[in-house]
Amino acid sequence: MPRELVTIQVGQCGNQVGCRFWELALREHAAYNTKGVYDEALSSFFRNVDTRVEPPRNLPVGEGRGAIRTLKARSVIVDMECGVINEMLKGPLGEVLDTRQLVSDVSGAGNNWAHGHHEYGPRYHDAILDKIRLTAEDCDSLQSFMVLHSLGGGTGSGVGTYIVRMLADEFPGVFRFTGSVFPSEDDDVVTSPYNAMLALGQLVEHADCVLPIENQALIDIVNRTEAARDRAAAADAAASAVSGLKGSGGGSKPFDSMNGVAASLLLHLTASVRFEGPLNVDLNDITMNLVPYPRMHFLLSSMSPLQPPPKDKDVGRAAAALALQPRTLDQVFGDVFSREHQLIRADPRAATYLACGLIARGPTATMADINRNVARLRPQLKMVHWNSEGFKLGICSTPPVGCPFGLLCLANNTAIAHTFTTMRERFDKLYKRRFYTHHYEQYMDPGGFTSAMEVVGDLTAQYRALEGATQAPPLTRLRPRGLSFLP
Amino acid sequence: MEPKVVAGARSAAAASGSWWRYPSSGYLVMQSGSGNNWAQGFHGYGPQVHEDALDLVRKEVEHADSLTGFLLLQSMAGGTGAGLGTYVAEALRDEYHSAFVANCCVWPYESGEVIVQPYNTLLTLSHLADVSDGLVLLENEALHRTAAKLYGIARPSFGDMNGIAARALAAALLPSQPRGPYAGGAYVAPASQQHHHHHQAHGHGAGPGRSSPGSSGGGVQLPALRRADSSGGRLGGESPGLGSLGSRGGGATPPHAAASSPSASGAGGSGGWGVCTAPLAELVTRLCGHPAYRLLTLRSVPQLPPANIDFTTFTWPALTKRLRQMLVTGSVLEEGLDWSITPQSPGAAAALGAGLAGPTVNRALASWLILRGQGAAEADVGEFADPALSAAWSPEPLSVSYSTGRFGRCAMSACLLSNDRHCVGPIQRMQEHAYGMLESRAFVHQYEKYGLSVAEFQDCFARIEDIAQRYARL
Repeated sequence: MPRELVTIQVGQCGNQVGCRFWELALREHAAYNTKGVYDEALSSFFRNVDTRVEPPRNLPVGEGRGAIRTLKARSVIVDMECGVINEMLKGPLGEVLDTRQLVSDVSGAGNNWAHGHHEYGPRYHDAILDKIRLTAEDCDSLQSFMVLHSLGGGTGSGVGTYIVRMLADEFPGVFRFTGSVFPSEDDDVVTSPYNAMLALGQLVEHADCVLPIENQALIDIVNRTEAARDRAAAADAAASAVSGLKGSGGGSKPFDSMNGVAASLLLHLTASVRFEGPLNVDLNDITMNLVPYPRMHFLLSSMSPLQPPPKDKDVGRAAAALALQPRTLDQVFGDVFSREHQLIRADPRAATYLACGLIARGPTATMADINRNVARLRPQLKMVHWNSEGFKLGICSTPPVGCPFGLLCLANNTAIAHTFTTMRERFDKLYKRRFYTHHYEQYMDPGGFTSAMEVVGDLTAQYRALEGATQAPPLTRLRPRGLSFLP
Repeated sequence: MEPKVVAGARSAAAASGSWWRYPSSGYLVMQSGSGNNWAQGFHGYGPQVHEDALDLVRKEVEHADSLTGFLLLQSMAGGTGAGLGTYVAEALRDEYHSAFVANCCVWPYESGEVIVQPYNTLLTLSHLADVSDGLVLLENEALHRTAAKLYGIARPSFGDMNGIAARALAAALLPSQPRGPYAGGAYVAPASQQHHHHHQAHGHGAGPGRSSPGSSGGGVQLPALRRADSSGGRLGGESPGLGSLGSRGGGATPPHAAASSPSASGAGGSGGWGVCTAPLAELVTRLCGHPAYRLLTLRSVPQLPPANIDFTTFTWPALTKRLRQMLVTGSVLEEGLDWSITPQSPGAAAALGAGLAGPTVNRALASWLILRGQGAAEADVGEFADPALSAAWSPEPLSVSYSTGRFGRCAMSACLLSNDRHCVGPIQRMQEHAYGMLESRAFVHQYEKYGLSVAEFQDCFARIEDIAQRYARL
């Protein structure tokens, strides 16, 4: 009965990322659970349901040797328009996702944060809370919630942040992680700066830990790997058969690879919770070690390998894909600190690290490797003076699927202030002239804008204050003396 | 507070054939872990598991004929080992007044494995300094270097390091028999009393045992009762302690008889395991007599990869010479010893950190040397009794025990537990980090969630300052 994690997918983006996440989770567990037993690792994400009886009965983990009957994901699906969800349920994930845990409406939130937060939120408060409570009761010892949403739209940002606030009230002892997709510069939603700023104001106050993911960074990553893969494939195989298959992984939808990257992040994050290893890192370890001050809970994430190797039918491309995987453990360490592997567009090496956590996966990873690499890379990083040597390390014995080792780096870094500032500039461009604000004022009071601006502004100032604080201030420190003054 | 490691340990024990296993219901696990939060372990989980944990202990204690004490194995950097471990130590102290509580604590890597380790380590140390009867500190860095340099493991894993630590601990705690430090197990040097007084008055000189050329194992033995006619009065005053030891230790013959037999027979004591008092009790009474000095360092020789054991010749002088130099320099590793440092070096008499440019020589309050293997009863280890190696005011700076049984596959091995000032360095470095963090109030809100305020942090740091100062002035 390990720590269970309940996923709450809100909005179109959140549901698509969630969908991909379940696919990858099933693939990972299938790779390691060859006997088809419902063990503790599976039980952190899935329930084992006996559908032969009516109503369907949940089978407990027990000794961890019972056979799998039907797996149902521990998730709650919320969307205000049913298009994406219907498509998900029609596909192969229809069996894993339970329609009991679905909250949906018809018309959508119109890309309006206020509509989502102040109108749909309260209207569906009870329905959503019921579904979440049902899911939580199915868990033996619930450890955390993971809310997947985007900040640029209406449902994901509005209803999503409403849910985060609700969880803070109703389940105070359970951690609230969010995987928030920040809008990119050329987002197709015009009001995304408003939505993002208002949502961010809520996340600062009510979430325990936010993992920002920027669409633009994901696009860059996917483009880079695709280009490299195409080059490698074209170099390997003969031109004719291969060059016809361009685009992301042969026939999949355009956002699939990007969502795959975001979903892998979640898998690596929870690897140590699910599988064992010499040095386990729980989710509460992460919040304890990487959040030095209550509101500074935005963690930059980066990982290597970035994408799970796709199931390519074509041998040439599969070989090319494998050739792109990192070759040595030392290489992955160099990768995760580089700019190209970050999931937001920021250069962490140019900014100051407040805290850094490294979770290595793989049977061959040892403390010696991690220490050696940290010692090698540490001189290139700027760390804040009160945490100049501090790294939170974890080792999980199970590697990611398809690669012998992997590494996830979660950093609390002042580079996020730059992201906030960019967001603020885009927001200001619209807000100066009060474009589109009347849509929001239909549902909320105009003070909402200013309070969100203040909250985010304060946080940005806090981060900026710590930027470059790599030297201790030249104050004389009073050491507590105890009784040593006695002769 | 999370189940994976305990499950792994129990299955590993059960899989080791039918030699041993953990009792089937002797474990307590919860689900969420303590999140590397000392306050969550101590104030959060402590009261919650108080009853269950003490129940488990009571079941085991009821099986024991005569309880000497408890040995707690824990880390100092985490949440459960550090926080809940400290809580359990305090609970055991309250519940079982007359039993010893000894701790074996793992000091984390200085390069950091947990970011809040300075807080957790110092909180643990300050609480355990009051509660524990003896604290053996095992440093991860030292174990790592031992594994890498001496055992030849290029990338040591935690399993390797744990094995090294466990071997050293077993070498110290397996049964052994007391004896004197000089050749043949004598308590007084075979050289004449006069000679001995002369040497001692000058306060230097290579230990008395070595300078007498003609003393073989049998030599001039003064059939002195242990601690009776103390040469120079340094070995006095321990009989009340011994008496109570006898009543509590559950051994057979009283120690006096056992002590006199080696010197009387003159050819070494009886072989085999023989009489032994409880090792935990010996550890505490011999080494941790003063309430302010409770931190012990464990050194064990030889540190050899198993493949080399068959090709090594073991001699007592070689082993003890290296072990003594390890004690003098304060190192825990058998290699890289700086042989130029001796107790007579210019910086030796200074307190640590007094700013003298000389090399710092380690000084111990008390040491306990345990020899295992053939000839352990007669080997001469008088050089450890050098007065320059110990503080001037220590009542009994050296105790020696032996056992003729082999330990592991080494024909001869030795282990030294000493209450010395080697621990000051790591403590001071940890203090620097902790003060820096507390000043910026970093991570403090996580501890305040469980009721640990900044004032408590400062109290605890003050306590640590005390401990470090005292040891530095040893």
